[in-house]
Amino acid sequence: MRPACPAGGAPPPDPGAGALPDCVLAPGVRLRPVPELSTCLAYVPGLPGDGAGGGRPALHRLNVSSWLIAALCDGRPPEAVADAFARARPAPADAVTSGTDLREGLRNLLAIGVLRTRHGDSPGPDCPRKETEP
Amino acid sequence: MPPALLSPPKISLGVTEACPLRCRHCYADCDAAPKPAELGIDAWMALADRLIADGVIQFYFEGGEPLLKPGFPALLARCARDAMTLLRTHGTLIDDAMADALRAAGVGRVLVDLMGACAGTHDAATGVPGSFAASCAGLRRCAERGIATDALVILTRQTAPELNDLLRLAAGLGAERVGVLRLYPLGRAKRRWDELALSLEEQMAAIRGLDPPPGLSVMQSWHPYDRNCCWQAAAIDATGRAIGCMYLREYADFGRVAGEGAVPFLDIWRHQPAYRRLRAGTGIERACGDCAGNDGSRGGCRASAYAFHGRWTAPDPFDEALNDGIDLRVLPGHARG
Repeated sequence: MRPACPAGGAPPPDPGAGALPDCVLAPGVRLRPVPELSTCLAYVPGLPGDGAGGGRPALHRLNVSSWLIAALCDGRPPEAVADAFARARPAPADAVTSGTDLREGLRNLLAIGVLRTRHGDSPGPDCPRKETEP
Repeated sequence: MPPALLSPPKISLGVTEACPLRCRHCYADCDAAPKPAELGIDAWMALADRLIADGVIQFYFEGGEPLLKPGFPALLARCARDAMTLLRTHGTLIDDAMADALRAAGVGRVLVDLMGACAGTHDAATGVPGSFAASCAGLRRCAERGIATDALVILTRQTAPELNDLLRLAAGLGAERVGVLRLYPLGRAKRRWDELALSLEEQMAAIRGLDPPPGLSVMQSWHPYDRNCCWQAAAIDATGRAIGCMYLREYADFGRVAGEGAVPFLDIWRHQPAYRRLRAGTGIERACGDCAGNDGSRGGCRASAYAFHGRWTAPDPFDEALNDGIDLRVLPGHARG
């Protein structure tokens, strides 16, 4: 089942089945690793032209797995992301578990605006981003 | 225990100590005009560039009134390109044009100080008739533009009876959260402590009586949310002094980061002995077990502890588990200054 958009707008692309989405860091996003706390802060600036409440600036705290995924989405193709994730992910796991974790991680990072799909906006200007506490 | 962070992810900048209000509790002892030694906006710009290059990813702007600082919107916009920005203001200068400018600058969150739930209480606190209406209007303008907006209120003898009215007011204006803040013995608040301060029992009764309307979040730092957040604290005052936390403005001076004799902030962060000890939290005498989980730290707020005990390692008397019978309505001699 395709996940609903957190705010009721257009849903993000479904990375839950089939090919992995081709993701890159969203424009203006800044990652600030804090290895001392095993986390990475991700700043997502506001998007000009968004309606009230949508596209607000936000600072997210990424866990190690999300941090790894965000760092790997540097322009390499999805297969290379999956391969690198499977080799470098924090806990050892079989290929199926690794793939599931990657899809879930991509979905979450798309939802909060840290990533976008390379050839399209995600989750879309009519879908306000989910916020986490700085 | 060594300090946890090699460099600060977040920092507070007190960009000016000028303010058009004359609040009786003003921590910065503000005047209408800036103090002569304040950094100019070019110096703040250069500092912001350096801090961002050194890893800062969140700026908290306060004052004084930051919107009174010439060139502030440009500084805000520069920081918002690369970092989350929070702006603490009394809101009276946020007309439609300023609200548009804040939105265009990409401000992350605006926090508006309210000194009461009605004009009588608020304007008596600020000394400026009409300031309540202006603050409320400023808050509303931000919320209407989709800017994340909070209200802040300092818990005093005057505001305590109006807290729940203030929560409803803030929600009606569009605030998403209200922060109820403790009173610190700084600036004019120190000199007028007797007329402002409540006992801890009175404070806890006010906190426990909070009844926010649906959808409004309330933040507070009393038990069981008292915390020692010094491990990550970084702040620079209007003259370019590194002071750790804005609530330490009268107690700490770790060196200058701009102007004559300045050194890079990161050098102070990494090498200034007193700052390192404060962040490391070594030797804290006693902690509250229920609050210890907050922010991974111990002993509660260091500014409150130092104000009442004169020791960085003392327990925080604003925590009912650590109060030890201290009457918070009475400042000790060393804190009266």
